[in-house]
Amino acid sequence: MRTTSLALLVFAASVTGARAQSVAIDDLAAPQSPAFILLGVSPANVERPETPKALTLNLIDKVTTANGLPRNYALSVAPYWLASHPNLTFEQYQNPDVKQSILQTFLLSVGTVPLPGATSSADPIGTKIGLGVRTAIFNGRANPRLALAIAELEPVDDIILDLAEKVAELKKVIAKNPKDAEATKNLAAAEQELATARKEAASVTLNLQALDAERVGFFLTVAGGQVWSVLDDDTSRARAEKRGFWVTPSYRWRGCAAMAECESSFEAIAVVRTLKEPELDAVVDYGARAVWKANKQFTVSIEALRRNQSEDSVEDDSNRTVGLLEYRIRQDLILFGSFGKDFKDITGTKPLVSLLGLNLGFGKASVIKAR
Amino acid sequence: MADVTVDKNYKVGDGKVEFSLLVGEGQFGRSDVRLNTQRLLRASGSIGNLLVGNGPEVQGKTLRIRTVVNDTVAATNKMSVTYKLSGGAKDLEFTSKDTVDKEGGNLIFEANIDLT
Repeated sequence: MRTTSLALLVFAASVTGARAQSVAIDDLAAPQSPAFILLGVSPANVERPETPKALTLNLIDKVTTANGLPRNYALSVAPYWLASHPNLTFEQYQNPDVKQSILQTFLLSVGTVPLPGATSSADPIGTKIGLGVRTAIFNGRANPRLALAIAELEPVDDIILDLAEKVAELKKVIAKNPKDAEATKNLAAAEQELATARKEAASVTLNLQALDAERVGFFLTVAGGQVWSVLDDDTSRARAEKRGFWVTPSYRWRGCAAMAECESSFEAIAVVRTLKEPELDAVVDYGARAVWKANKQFTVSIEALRRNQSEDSVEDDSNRTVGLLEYRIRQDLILFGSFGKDFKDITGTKPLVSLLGLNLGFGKASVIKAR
Repeated sequence: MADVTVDKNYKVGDGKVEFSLLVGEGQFGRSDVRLNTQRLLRASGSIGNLLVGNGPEVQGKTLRIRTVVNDTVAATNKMSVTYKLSGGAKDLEFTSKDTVDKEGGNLIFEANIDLT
C-alpha cells in the first residue's frame, strides 16, 4: 500500500500568485532520462531491456507493430550492462576511475510521441523523437558503511559454503547407500538450513545494494538530449527541435564517524541547465543548494536559483532564494517551513515566500521482502 | 549442491601448480578452494596465484572450488566466475556465467578440476 500525503498549510503569507517562471532546483539537476524531459512526457511504461537480444527483439517488435516509427514509446537502457564483464571486480565497480564511472553509469533514453496536427482532434502529422544520454563522470566513493555490510555478509556466505559442502557430502553417502535413513534425514535438514541462509544473504545483499545509492564524496553528473520532429514519419523530413544540457556537480559528506550508523549528512549541489528551442536564444538556469540533515528528524536547506531569459523573452532575468526547514514528527507526519524570495512575478515584484505546513501521510509504505 | 557446475581436467607437470579466481560483473563473492576434501583457502573476492602444490604431489587429486556470488550490483543480475590454473603442461582458463533471477539473490558456482 502506498503512502498518500496531504499538505496542510497552516500559515501562508504572500505566496506567489501569478508566478510565470516557477522552477525548482530538482528540475535543473541532470535528469535520469533527458529524452522524456525534453519531450515533456512521464511515460508510465518504460522498456528496460537488460540483454542485447531483449533490446533487439523489443525494437523489432515495436517497429513492426507500429508499421513505421513507434509512437508513445519509451526506452531506457544502460548499454554497458547489456554485455557481460567477467573481468570487472567488486573493487573496480565500487571504486571506478573516470572511464569506468562513465561506462557503468551511462544511460541512454529514447522516447517518441505523436506530432499533433493543427487541431486537437486532427490526426497526428508525424512523430516526435527524443534521444538523451546521462552519465556520472565522477560518482563519489563507496559509503563507509559498505565495509560493515560486507562484514555482515561474509559470515552468512560462510554458512552457505559450509552447508553446501555438508549437502554434497551427504549426497555422496546416500549415493553409496540409498537406504541410509539417518543421512537422508540430515540431508533434508541441511538443505532447509541452506535455503534459509541463502535468503538471509539475499536480505543483507539488498542492504548492500541500497548503500550504493548512498555514496559519498564528489559527484559530477552530465546529461544531454535532443528532440526531432519527423513529419509523416519520413526521416528525410526530420527537423531538429528542442535540446538541453545539464551539468550537476555535488558533494556529500556523512555527518558522523566513518563506520557509525547515523542519519546525519551534509550535501552541496550546484546545477546548470541550458535549454534551446529552434529560432530562440538558449535559456540558462543555474543555482545551488546546501542541505544539512542533522538527524533522522531534522533537515535544513537553503537554495538559490537564477534564470537568465533569452533576449526574445518578455520576462526579465530573475532569481529565487529560499530557506527550507523540515521536521519529521512521526514517520507519516512532517512539519515544514519555507522562507525567502521567489522569482519576479508578471508585475515585476518579487513575492515573499513564507510557508508553514504539515504533511500528513496515510496508509503504509510499501515493503519489499527479499525471498 | 550448486547452481552452476563445471568439470574440467588439468594436466600437471613437474612444476608448482597455481590457481587464480576472479568474481566478475562487479559482484561480491566468497570462495572455498579444496584439494579433495582438504580446504586450502576460504576468501572473499579475487584469489591470485594460490599454490596448490607441486605437480607430482597433486596429480590424481581433484581441485574443488565453490563460490557464493551475491547480487550486490543493482544494475545487473549477471554473475560470472573465472578460473585460471598455471604451472602445468599449459595454462587453463575458463569462465562460468549465469544470471540470478531475484534482485539481491545469490548463486553457488562450483568447479571440479581433475589434476591428471
